[in-house]
Amino acid sequence: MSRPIRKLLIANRSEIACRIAQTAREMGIGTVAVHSEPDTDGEHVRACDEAVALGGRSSMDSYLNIPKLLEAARSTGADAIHPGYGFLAENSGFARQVEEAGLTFVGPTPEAIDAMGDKIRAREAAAKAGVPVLPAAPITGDDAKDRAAAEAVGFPVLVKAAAGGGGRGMRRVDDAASLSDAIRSAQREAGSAFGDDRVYMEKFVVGPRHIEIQMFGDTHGRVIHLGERECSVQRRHQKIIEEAPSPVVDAVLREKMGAAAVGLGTSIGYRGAGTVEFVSAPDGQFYFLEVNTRLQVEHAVTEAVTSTDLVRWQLEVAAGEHLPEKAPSPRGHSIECRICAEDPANGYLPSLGLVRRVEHPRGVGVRVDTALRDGWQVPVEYDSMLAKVVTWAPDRVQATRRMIEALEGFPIVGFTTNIAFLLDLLRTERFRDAKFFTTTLDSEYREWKPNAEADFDAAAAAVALLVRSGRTGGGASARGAAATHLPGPWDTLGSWRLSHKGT
Amino acid sequence: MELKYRSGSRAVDLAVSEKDGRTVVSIDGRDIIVDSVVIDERSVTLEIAGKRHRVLIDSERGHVFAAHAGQAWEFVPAEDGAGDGGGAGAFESSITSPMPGKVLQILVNAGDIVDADTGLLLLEAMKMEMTVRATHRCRVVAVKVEADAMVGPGDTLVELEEIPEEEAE
Repeated sequence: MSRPIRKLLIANRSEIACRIAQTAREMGIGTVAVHSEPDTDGEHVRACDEAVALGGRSSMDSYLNIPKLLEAARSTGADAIHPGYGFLAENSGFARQVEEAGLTFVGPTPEAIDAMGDKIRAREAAAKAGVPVLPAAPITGDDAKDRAAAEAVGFPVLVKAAAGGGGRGMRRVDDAASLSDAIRSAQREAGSAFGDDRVYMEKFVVGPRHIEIQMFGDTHGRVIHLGERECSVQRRHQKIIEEAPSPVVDAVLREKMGAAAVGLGTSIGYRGAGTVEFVSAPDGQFYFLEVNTRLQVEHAVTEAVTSTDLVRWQLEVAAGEHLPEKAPSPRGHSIECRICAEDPANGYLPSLGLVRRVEHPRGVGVRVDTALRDGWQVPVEYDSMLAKVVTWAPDRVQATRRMIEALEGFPIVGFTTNIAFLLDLLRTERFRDAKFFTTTLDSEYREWKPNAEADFDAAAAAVALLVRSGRTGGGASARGAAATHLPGPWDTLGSWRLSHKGT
Repeated sequence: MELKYRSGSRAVDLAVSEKDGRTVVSIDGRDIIVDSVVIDERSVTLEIAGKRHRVLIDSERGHVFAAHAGQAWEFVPAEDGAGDGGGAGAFESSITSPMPGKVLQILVNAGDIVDADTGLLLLEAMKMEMTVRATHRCRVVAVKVEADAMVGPGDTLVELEEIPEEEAE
């Protein structure tokens, strides 16, 4: 059944909304942005043909408000809704209501979202489809029984929330003595985060790597995979550097993991973009973790190595078109860094404010997905991710060098970000040798400080010379917070040069 | 030409001079030779020891903001510093915001005596919640913010005073 999309409402904000809008425009599909109050002048509003103000500052009043979103679709005549990632992307109730309103939901069926959203059910489905799973046990609340179960699974164990996500409601337990406290605190956290305090335990893999398979299904029963991404550089379960292919996955393992993901996807009639996440042990064995029923933040590294546009695939599948029989094999290497509004030298606390000036990396093999621009006030209400920088090169060494160059060329004036931290990580032998586990940052980079005194000197010297030149100005406030800087003739005509070279 | 700034908690003394036809910037007494400089509306590009650095710049009311090599700095004129913190020692201590964010909830009232580690208020930024706590036993003199207010790093949240020893017993 073919059902072309003519006008797409993007129920999201910031870089992912801009990214989805780009593909929709390329396909000749009309685009509708929605926005909260702080995002009135957001980049994603400018990226779309039309915009609907949802009102409200909080996510609950805007990007999570289903009636407002459906009304926005109705009033603009949109015939499809793309949820992006985060917000309502994995909310089966939203998917159901979108379809009940006669619109196309660009994503999986509500049933698939439900089946994979509950980690206990997802685990059962994976095991049934023949995907390797870790030893696990239910948690009964009876201390003696839970202790016996943990001993049978074998310490260390991981107590996990059934509703799970973002590492909340998750506790590593190394011995029987700390089990019951960990269970209770995980239950509390899961209850307040997800409104569902069910937890279970699973064997904890020591030396874990995070490797995930990008899968795709169409409405004609075909499910294929596009290879893996490795996302082992994480802080508190938040990925910050991702890459494809994984340095520890060869063609044989790729086919094995890919077949496992496709088997699971096929068994649940999966439609659209999805990711099957695995934890990989030092011996190369891999085990099912969970399924994300949406486009991932890190989809761009897969796009880079397979020369695909996964948003286009999502829209085509949603319109009833067929997937190719097989995805292209990965070519070259791609790395993504997430630029976040946090200060790693200050306990990773949020660090945000007015973007006084910004310049984006450019050049061969460099992609930047961002909504940052001069004069943009970063709202405190939403996620801390400001941008994704993605590089591609024929091999990992070159892709890393390209990333270092790109991040060096990404100055953001106004507040500290994690860029210097990322640069430091990329330059380590550990990264070069691909020896990061998902636990490494939390155990070894708690007290990170930048150490580049030469960079401070250059900045201080620049300040001194600027002040001496008398060219200090009214700043971003005088230019107007809403003003976007467009390079004009005065930028270059205004330069003056002072050179003492060769004297 | 001499300039006195603070950057974070660090005092920065800067001076620019010409020596033997070269531009020398002195940073806290260390001389840095700058081989070339280009200044435009957005940036200062300079060459130091054979390496070129492009520093993106903005300035407002004497504050200069710079970004370079993945880092960002704010240079605050040193004379601005004395005026900061309000009250000029009227209170014995205050708790300032460690981050920009929104005040979610106030947990204490003026007059309360709180122990070390007592939560004073809840802040939230970018989906991260943080409890601001008392560092030692003290009395709350005033809560300077309201629920739902937006605060910046360094803004005073709560004013506190020491409890005289006899009272503390």
